[in-house]
Amino acid sequence: MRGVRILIAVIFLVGLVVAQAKRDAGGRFAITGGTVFTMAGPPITSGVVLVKDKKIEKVGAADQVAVPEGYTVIDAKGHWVVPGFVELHNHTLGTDLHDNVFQVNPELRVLDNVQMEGPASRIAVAGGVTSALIIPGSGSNMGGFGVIVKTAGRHPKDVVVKFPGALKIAQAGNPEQYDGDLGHTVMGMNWMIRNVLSEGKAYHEAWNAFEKGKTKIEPDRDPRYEYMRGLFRGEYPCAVHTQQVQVVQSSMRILHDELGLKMVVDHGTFDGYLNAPEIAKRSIPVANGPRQFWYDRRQGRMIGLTAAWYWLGVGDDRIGINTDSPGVPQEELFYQGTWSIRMGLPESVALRALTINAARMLMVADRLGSLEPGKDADIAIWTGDPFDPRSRTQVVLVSGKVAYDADRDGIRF
Amino acid sequence: MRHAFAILLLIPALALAQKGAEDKKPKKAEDAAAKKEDAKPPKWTAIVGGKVWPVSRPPIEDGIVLLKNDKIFAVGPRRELSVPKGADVIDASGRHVAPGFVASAASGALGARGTSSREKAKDKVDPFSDVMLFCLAAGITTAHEGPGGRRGFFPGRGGGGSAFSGTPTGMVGGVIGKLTYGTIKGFELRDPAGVYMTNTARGGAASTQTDAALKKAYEYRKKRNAWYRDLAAKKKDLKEPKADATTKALARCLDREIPLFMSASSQKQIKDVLELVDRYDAPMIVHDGLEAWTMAREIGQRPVKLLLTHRGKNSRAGTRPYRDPHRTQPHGWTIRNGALLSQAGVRWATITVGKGVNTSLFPGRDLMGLTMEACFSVRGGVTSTEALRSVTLSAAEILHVDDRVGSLDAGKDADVLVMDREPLDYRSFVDLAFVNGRLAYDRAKVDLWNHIQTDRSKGLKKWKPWGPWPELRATDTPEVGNGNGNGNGNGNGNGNGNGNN
Repeated sequence: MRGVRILIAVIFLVGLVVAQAKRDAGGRFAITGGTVFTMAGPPITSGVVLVKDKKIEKVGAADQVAVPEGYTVIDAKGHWVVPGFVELHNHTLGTDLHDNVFQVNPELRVLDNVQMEGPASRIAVAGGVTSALIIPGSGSNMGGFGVIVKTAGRHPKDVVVKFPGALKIAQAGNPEQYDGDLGHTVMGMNWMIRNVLSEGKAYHEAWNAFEKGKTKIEPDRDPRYEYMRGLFRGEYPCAVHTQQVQVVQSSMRILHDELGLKMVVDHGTFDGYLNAPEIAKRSIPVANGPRQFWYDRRQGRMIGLTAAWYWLGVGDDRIGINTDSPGVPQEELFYQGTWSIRMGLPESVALRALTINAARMLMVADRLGSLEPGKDADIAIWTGDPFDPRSRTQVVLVSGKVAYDADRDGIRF
Repeated sequence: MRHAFAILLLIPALALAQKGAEDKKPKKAEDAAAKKEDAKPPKWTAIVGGKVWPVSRPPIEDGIVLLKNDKIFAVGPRRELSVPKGADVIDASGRHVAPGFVASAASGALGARGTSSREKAKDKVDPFSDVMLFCLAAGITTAHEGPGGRRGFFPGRGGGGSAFSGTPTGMVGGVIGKLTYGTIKGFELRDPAGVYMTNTARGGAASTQTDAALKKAYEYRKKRNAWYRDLAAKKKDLKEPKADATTKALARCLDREIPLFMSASSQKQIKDVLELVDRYDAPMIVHDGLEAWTMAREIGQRPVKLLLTHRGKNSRAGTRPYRDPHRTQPHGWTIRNGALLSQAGVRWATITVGKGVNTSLFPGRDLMGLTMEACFSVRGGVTSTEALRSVTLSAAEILHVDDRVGSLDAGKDADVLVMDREPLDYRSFVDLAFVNGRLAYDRAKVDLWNHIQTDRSKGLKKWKPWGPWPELRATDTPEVGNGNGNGNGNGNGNGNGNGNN
């Protein structure tokens, strides 16, 4: 009798494991008939995208890629097939904003706040956004480490793409609200950033020396500086809340020139674009937003900011766009693109900005940002030009699963 | 103080009454003036060769829009119309011609910081305001400004105040006007625009006050109508029924002579509105209507029209739950709002989330994104045709100004846009904006958006990042429409602020 029970239990467990494995494997899909924007070559009219085991298996023209048996066909005729958008600056897919007790918080991390498939992420998926960098807010000078996540998925390992994703630094234009101690002014804040990063660098170098056998003395572990080691190894960038001409200059000077860190100009708004030639010389990427234009009173002209950065030298590969959700709702990332185009950015560049460029800035282009074999199957099927507010998504795949289907889910965005 | 206020309230009511009387007067004086006008040779403007979007009918490829003085004279295909001799010909080939857009809820588009019953819009309008210029550049030629009061518009800082303050008991005010940049001649369509009422989320006191005010107007109207009948029957010893100005104005709303605007967003507020509509047979224009879709059928059965937001009310829409977990009935915001209301036969116009112009905050939620706001309704299932209508003819109809604006039809005001792409294309810019037949905005001559090219891949032109040194532009002084007979109603070369650069 006992043996039977054990047998039943074993069968049940095996069943569970098999079911789980099957679920993990994801579906097999063939997206056919649409115009495919791979971001790794010219668009393919009437292209086929094959999806298998959460990844993109093949992409090509209909006469080159046959649909194998057992694949669920998703008809995208007349539609645009576009990589899932990558958000560079999000605060709504987690549950916290910023811890305002101290000005610099290199020990804080967003990782533990990720809310899987909350209301905000579901509507983000419907807006074609399939991954995002969640970062602490700009209420403190150094907010902590952000995390790159998928907007759909019900298991942490499915959702978290990369941690740490970036270190959030906020230079002027919000952290001044901190009062009563050093760091109330931009001067004070800049000192604090340089100070804490210099300490982090020293910590990293001490450990480096020990690991390479240059010294026998093992340094003390300090959790405050642990994540900084990856930063100084160049594994992830600083996402720098920096805007206005003088503040962007100081970001460039302190983080790039002085400390040799990878950085992304995040926001970059108002007249920050006047630094574009210098930023371009250093190959620093720019994620412009949520403001897409600025009224230059000197000349009475409305300046499209992403376009200004782009045309002043940042160029095709290093221009990005963000929403600062909830500044602009996460599902309206496309609409940030809409306004950047309206204000002078070429359409094709805007599409790069929301996909492959964003993935490169976050150093996850091996997985996200384009429709190429081996990359994550994050694919949005749009009824037309994604930047036309009249177009909407019909089907969105996140990690090879249909996370949104307008007909199935009834809800639209 | 209270008396003073009552007197001030009386002024617009009198104005309304006077206006009503004017309508009935034989228009001898006007006819004479018209004859005098006719004596002068008419000013013809022919916009030739573009794709014409009359809105009232399907688009016309290769069309002509012919303007005579301040009115549209004819609209049709090129082969059916001829251009009069001496006409100013504007080549619109490869471009698009549309009626000026109607912002059915705005704050500051006329350059005024909100108008209340205490001020005449004419005295507050600023025809040199940047905000008016920005709105014109976005294609808006007619704007409805509610009584914004102290939360009125402040240029360049934030999204502008609430366009619809009103009071629970009703407030006579607002203005519907033209964006006659550089002059105030011909700016006024209706002043005051109507009566404004508010309704709080909790109902309660406000609803009670609103109900009482409408009841008073309803009773007054009964007595007044009886008095009219008695007057007609030539009965003797008649006494005119007395009422305060607001009550009289509300009675005119019940007469369906002037509109009654009511702000209502939530289900509860809309339910209250529908109840008042039933109780007093009061037609209403509901402002906002965020949850209107939940009661589309009930609204469709009543004389209720909507000034509608398609997206959430504030910019924090991303944090707003689509559903409130504590409620089980359909509720909340949906992009399908407009589509579901249309299905139920409800008439609506598109309004923007922010009612002003916003040059330093987040893009695309203010008046400069009016057409794109309309496009959002298409995501929810509305047709493009209806979306365009919602910022032109539907808006004009709801505001009762469709005899003057909203479509390209002969006899209507010559408010015409020449655009470089289709009206609803997110890349399209207004190249020329005619208001009352006068060129009020010329993109090429204003340093606002003339650096952006139709083909975005060609880069930005005429633009220096650091800008020029500030210079005084003495030649920029625009004309002021003081009716001095210099023909500025017809002129088209001297209309914009930077015209002589």
